[in-house]
Amino acid sequence: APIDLKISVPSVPSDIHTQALKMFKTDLEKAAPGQFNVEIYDSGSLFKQGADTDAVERGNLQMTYLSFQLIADQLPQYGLLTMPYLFRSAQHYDDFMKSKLGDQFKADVEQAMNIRLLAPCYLGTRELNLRKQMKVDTPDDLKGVKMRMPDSDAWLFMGKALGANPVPMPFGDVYLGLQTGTIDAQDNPLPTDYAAKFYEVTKQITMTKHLVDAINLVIGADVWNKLDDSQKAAVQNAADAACKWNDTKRKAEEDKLVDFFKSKGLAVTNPDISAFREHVQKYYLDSDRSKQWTSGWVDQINAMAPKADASKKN
Amino acid sequence: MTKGAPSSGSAGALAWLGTMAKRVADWIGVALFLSAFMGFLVQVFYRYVLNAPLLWTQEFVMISFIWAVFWSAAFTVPIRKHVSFDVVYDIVSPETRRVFSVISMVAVIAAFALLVPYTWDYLTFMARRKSAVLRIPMDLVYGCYLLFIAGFAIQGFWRLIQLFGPSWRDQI
Amino acid sequence: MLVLMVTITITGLPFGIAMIVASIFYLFLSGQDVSLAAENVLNGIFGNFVALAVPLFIFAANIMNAGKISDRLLDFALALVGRLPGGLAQVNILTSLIFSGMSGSAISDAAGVGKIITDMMMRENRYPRGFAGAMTAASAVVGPIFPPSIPMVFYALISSTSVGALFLGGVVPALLLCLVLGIAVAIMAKVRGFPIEAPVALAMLPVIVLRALPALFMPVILLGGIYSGAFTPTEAAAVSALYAILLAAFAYRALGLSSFIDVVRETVETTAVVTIVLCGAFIFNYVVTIEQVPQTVSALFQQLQLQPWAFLLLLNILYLLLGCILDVSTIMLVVTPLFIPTAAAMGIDLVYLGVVLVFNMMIGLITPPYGILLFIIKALNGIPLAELIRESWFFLAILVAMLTLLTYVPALSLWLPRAAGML
Ligand code: NA
Ligand code: NA
Repeated sequence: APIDLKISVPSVPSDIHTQALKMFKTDLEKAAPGQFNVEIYDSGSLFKQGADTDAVERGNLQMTYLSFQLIADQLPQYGLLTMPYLFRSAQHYDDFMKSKLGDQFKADVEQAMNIRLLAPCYLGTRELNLRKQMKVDTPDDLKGVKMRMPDSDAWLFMGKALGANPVPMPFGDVYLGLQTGTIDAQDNPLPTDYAAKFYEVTKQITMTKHLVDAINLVIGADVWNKLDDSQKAAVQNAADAACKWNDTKRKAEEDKLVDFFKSKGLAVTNPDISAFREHVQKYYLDSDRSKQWTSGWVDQINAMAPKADASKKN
Repeated sequence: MTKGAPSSGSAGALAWLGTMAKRVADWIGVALFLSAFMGFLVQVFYRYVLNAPLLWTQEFVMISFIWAVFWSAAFTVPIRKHVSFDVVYDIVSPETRRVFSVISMVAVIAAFALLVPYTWDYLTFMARRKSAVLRIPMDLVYGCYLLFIAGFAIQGFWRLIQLFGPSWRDQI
Repeated sequence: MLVLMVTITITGLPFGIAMIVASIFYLFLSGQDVSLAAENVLNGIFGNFVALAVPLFIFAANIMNAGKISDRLLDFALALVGRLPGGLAQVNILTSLIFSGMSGSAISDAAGVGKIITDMMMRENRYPRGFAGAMTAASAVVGPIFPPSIPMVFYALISSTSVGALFLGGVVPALLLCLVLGIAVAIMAKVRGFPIEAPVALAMLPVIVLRALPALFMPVILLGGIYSGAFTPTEAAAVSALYAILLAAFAYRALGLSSFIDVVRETVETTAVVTIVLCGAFIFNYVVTIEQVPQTVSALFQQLQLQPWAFLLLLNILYLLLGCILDVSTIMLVVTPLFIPTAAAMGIDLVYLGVVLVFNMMIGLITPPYGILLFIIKALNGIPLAELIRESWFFLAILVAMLTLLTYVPALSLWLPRAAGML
């Protein structure tokens, strides 16, 4: 009988991630005909965001996307992977995951969470999105700015690290919050700002580039370990291809959107990124949370930054 | 212990205990609800009036809320008060209603008894998780559900006993 | 699974519990992890901050009824429209509209201000009692159409639409409904010779207005607060409850500590009852999804190659029929998710669909045999069900006509949220 691979994700069908899953399904069925039965549930229709990870861990679901933030929640030593300004690009993530450090990381996650990481998919780079036009050069300029953050300790901490006044708010309330001024700002990758139509209710985007974000396509370790070698290769290759396609598509979309937002009358500004990076990283490294981090990793990951990307910064 | 029995000392004490227990349960429900409500007001006040948003209120409100819900569903709301499909139930004879009630109570008790070990397993799994802001272990946050299943099953069991007793007409 | 569900529901087992029980048996018998019946319920409810608006709106409405706020509104409405043909019936409509700006539930309207006005209409046989009750039921329908609205909060939850946009979408339909009801009653009053109320002395007018003013101010605070950014719709529910408490306790001095505690106790019980239905829906929806029911429904409609207008017609008819036998929360939480993917695929705006479906389900509140508004009015005012139902047909016809209008003129629901820049 074919092996059931139920995939549940919170993203909507039009989202590039969701489309990448369809590619994964097609590729896998082509590579290993009749061996897999892939069912994709989007929009959180089977499991809600967050609950999908639990479901994979408990064997009620076979695949999903897993964020580095959720991993750090259970393995605090890997909180460093969620530090802003650490990863510089999608390629940087790939290089890290394929390195020795990446192997150790994957082994630890599999051990602790019973989940096998297949490939990182680029989500986009989080930028500031403000309700009113204002000068934002350094973190000091964000003092007192009510910035919406997802409702979790780690995200709220990031809001503080950026110098803002974080407000926890569910994603669904953000549009109205921006429109009416319950919040002054929010941060998300540009494609999210576009999809949620935040450009209708904001006046400025500041390219802080504070978090190059990615999520991992994952599979339950129990399912994974039952596969034979050729099946494993088929799944792994399909995952790599899906994420690669996603990365290219995302990057192109981001580049295109800057012009779109300008055409909608938003100011797109470039702050002093090194001032932000210094302030934010110091804030993290001085905090209690960094005490649990595996020492030396930040430097080693910094060293992996693709040269071209590194020089483009600043 | 049934209504028809002459009230001896111990039965009276038991009835008193039952009333007190119900009152305490009510008070706990009221307190949980009010703390959710207060949490909300504090949240609005700090963000809107003081412009200093609090991070913990939303989670605090949610925890109070689910505890209030499951606590009350288990211990303060009589089964007959829940929203149900009464169209058929209301037109059949009392004897049929008694049979209906016995069937539904048996179904509830069987299902909930089955669910208890599984819920326990899930809660044990969730013990490793902590809530996002307050960092409370999730098995404590979600523990109210186990309470609900057990409490509701016991309520159902009690009703079942009564349905077989002389005062079964009070239960339909 | 469905058979089991239907069987245990017919035996009188509460809906929420029945959904959980049926799902447990399904999971067990199909060899799946039974703990999903804990996991889905808990994650579903804990992650839904918006679900909290529901008990808080119930809380606010309970306080208003306990704290005599309803009475002040009644005096005010009497002074305003008592002189129109069918005076008290017009008052009945106007109080419902005002009350609806503070409460999200039709039941609390009928049980609170609705009960008082029904008694007034029945006094000295001024109106046939069946008519009085039917009038109250029909006008109570406006409660959840005009914001705030408990069913719309539920709809926003399952369709991922904005609560704010849905709330605004209900404003025009609600006002229109009141207008149409008012005109219909005026005509009926001429035909059946209903009385006009004695004019209120001009000197009394300022006093009446002054006494009602703090209560009238509530919708302003509520909606103003939401749309000016002071608070989110969920927080607005808490703020309106607070305002009602302050009003009842201090301005009107009609709410003591012990009656306050009673109101809370009653609210907690209602909250538990309503939320358990929601919990049941979470696990039930999981089972329905894993069995690919929404896809099957969607495929069925695609096979029929229905035009959106035909789809909406069928949907409306189905909902009206379901409304005769099922509770609103059940239809909303169990049935609606089945159709949302199909509607979205047809390009039907989900905010407009929400307004139409909520309006439809409110009609279900007064359609026999299971018309909960009729039951409540019967229980509170002692009007025989047969008389209520006989007088209800007239209003039902108006409501169904309004529903048709809403369904085929989407602008009625969409104009305001669009004008406010929310869509
Ligand atoms: Na009314
Ligand atoms: Na309303």
